[in-house]
Amino acid sequence: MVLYHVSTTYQLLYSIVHKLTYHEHEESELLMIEYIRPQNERDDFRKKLLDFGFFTRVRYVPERQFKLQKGVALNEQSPESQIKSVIENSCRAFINWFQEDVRAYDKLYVASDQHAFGVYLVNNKIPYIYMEDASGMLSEHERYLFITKRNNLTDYVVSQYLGGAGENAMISAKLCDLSNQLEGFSDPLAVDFSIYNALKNLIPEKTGVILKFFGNMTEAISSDKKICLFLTQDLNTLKIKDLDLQEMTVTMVADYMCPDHMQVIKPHPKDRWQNYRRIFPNAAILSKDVPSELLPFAIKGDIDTALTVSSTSIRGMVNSVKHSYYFTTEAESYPERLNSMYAAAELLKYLGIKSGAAMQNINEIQMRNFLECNGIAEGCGEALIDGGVKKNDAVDFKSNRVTVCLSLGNVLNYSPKWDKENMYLVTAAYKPMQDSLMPESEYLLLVYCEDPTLCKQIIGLDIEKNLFYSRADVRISGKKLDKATIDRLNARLQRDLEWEELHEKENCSIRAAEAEKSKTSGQEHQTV
Amino acid sequence: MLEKLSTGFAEKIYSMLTSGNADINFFCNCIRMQNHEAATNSPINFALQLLKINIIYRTPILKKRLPSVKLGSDYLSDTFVRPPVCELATGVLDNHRIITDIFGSAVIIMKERDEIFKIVEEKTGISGFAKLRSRLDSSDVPIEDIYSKINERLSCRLDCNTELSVFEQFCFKNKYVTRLLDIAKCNGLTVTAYIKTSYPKGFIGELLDKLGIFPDELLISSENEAPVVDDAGFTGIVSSSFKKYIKPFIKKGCKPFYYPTPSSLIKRAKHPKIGKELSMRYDNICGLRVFNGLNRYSVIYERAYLCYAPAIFGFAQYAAKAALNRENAICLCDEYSLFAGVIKRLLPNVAFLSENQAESKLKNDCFFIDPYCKAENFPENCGHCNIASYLGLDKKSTEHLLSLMYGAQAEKNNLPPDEYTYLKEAYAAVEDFTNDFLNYMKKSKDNFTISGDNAARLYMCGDPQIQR
Repeated sequence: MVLYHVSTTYQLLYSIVHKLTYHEHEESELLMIEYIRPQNERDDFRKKLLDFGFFTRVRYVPERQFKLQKGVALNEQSPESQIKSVIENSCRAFINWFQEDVRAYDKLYVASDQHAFGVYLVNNKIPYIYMEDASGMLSEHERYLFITKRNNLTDYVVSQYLGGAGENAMISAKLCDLSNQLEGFSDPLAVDFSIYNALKNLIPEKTGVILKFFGNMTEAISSDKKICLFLTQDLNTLKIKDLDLQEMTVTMVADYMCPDHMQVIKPHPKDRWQNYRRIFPNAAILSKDVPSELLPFAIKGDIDTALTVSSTSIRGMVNSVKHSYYFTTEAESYPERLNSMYAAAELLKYLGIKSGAAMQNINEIQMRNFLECNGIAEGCGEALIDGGVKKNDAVDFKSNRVTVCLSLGNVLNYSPKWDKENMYLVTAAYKPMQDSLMPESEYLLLVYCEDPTLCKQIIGLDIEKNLFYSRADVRISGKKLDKATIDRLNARLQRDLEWEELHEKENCSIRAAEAEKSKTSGQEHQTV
Repeated sequence: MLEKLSTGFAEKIYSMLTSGNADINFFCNCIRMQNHEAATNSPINFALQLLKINIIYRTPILKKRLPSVKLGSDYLSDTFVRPPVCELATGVLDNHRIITDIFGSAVIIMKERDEIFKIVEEKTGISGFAKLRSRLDSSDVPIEDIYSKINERLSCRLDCNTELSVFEQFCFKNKYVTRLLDIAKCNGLTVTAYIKTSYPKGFIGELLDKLGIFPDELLISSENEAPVVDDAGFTGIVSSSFKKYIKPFIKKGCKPFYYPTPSSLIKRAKHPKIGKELSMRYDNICGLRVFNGLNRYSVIYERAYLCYAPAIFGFAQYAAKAALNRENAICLCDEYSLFAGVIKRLLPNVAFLSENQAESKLKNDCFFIDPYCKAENFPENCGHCNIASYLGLDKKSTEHLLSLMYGAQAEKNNLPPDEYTYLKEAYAAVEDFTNDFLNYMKKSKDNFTISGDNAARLYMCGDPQIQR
């Protein structure tokens, strides 16, 4: 008999597909963390799983119940004795509930091993096969730990102590979708298993029944416009848990990447907090209970673009769409940077630059999205975009027809030593409407150009755009640098440098304090 | 024993221990929010803490002896903790329907009823209106009937439009509760707005539309409408009025979601004496920001917002007013400084110069704004002001404030070691305070200014030097 332990809809789908592929006729048990469904839906959902016959036995793991028995809330300074006590309590709570011999199972497939079952296995040295938390998450370990820590500090501390999240010696293999991992990822224990590949090639005959289970979903979506499939995220997985920020970022990327598309919104299964019908008034909203990995099999109609802020599930859509845009987790922390990048791409498009665009000192994934969306090919010789994330006075202005300097970092991307004779200032001014979540703001782009035709165009630049979903207008205009503007730039640069010096001073003092602290705790350990 | 403790039983005990009265409900939730994990991982300890709250807030003598929380020196949003809106929504979403009173929760009214009546009296010039209107005020009687009686007794011919228009000016959307209602709606709950008011349904409906609030049902008490509760076990009540609104529904078996208004929270903190006029505006505006429930601000931000920002904004108002009739206003500070950001909002044409540069720009009838008290000599025909004189304090007492305003350029820092973070937080707070007050003034057409005395009192309760 095999056992699967899951806590999310993705993991459930993964387990179902894996089980049907490799253990179709074997007896099996499914343990689901109770949070996978709201309380009033649990009984029906369990019954449905049994009726469909994917698993012989299905149980909800009462994690809330186990929490009451942990005894204490841990933090990163908790002594080892307390951590051990919580582990013992968790294990006792689990086995009193489970009432089976865990070692009697032939194979244990475990996702989210920071919960009680995972703790029990590691503490009792029972081998298991780890399943990644979400598609591509195995290569984003730090991100996963951050989410775990923020959601439950006690679980995080225990997990770190025992080597949870796939980092302990009890793991015999790590199931993951290798094609969706970050570039450069490698893990000797990683074993490739992809939902898409399995449903397409290994068990295509089972696709229908799986689609039926997850809501009998076959959406025929058609439109005169191109279709953009927007994949949303669970607020709990974002760096900054702020609904307004999430809403603002979602509308920004939709406005920038697919303003004229028909939006088809696929909410994350746990994304209960955003009213997408209000945010995207004319969009089609898909059921959130369907995992996005099934969409290539469920949607009839061509999807032009898949779009997300930072959901890893977009990697599963790459084979089914013409374009896919992912903005990395940086978009959660620094959404305002997208405004400057948008202005830069609009500028290059306006100047007729179609190829030979290079970039540096910038989040290349994000900037590449803007270039691709505007039909501008990467290369060199035509345009250089310097993002200014780190201060760099030595920008090469001569090797390109036009050089665009954005100020994405803390310090204005400008130097008084630069040749101002051929320098222009492009301003992107954002004016929000009532109830818009976008603040009123202005972004400066410094543009170096010696080509007379392009220079004339820059001076005449005056583009106005309406960002429909963000409820804001943006005006992008250009002018030659004059003395007054140069004085203001110098003053602003001076100010930024003073602030940066202060920031660096504070960082040094924090680093020194941390070094002192780890030195002291290292010495304490030695003493013990 | 803990093994036998089920979550259902724990929830029942929690509900019992938090339903006594508004204070009990609120402070029990605060304890839970202060350390969520401790509440669930150590349920017995948590229950004992709740029991303590119940005893204190049911016993007036004990309640009086509680140490007071002070504005400026205590971290208010750590004491009065709102659950994140998603967490509140998680409980709400277990229901099929929510009933809410809107005013006091989703919509905050920035004026008391009596103040609104006084404004109407001033606008209409009908003497005695405010007192009579206040006496006749009732949420069970339609406004037209109230005005009929007023017209009869004061021999005038008024209609309610002036009052409705004034009322609307002072209605501000509360993003926390409107977000909660939005979440409820998109999860298929029916949202019923049951409002106890004499105002007509059409007016209320339009007002809510303008504020972007769209309940499924709108019921008005003065039109003899009331919600029919046929599924009490799955009906939640969201209101800021525990006794008058929530408790009657609890008796029917509905689930309470008590939302103390932002101003009621900030009023719990001991304030300096800042007068009723400022207090009313300050409590509402600052409460909405500090206790917004969507972001939890740091202690630095909170202190800067509540104590330093009124001084800086108040001074900018004072300077802008003084410079108004002058040909040129010159501000002696860096154009990208904190104060510059504020003064520009009030005096868009102000020029920014250093003290040295200013000498060369002397003109008749200009006005110098010298926030940092840097310059010593001004020409006779030019007016000037500085923040110390506005606050009525000597320069030494304002050192901390000046250091803050000087920011990264401060020669003499009275700032803590983590200066950068401190300044960034403080700057954000002052910007937000400026935005919040200006937005309020624009919508309500209330040109209120913060006097130097009041600003000084607020500043001093937040100044660490003075606290020491």
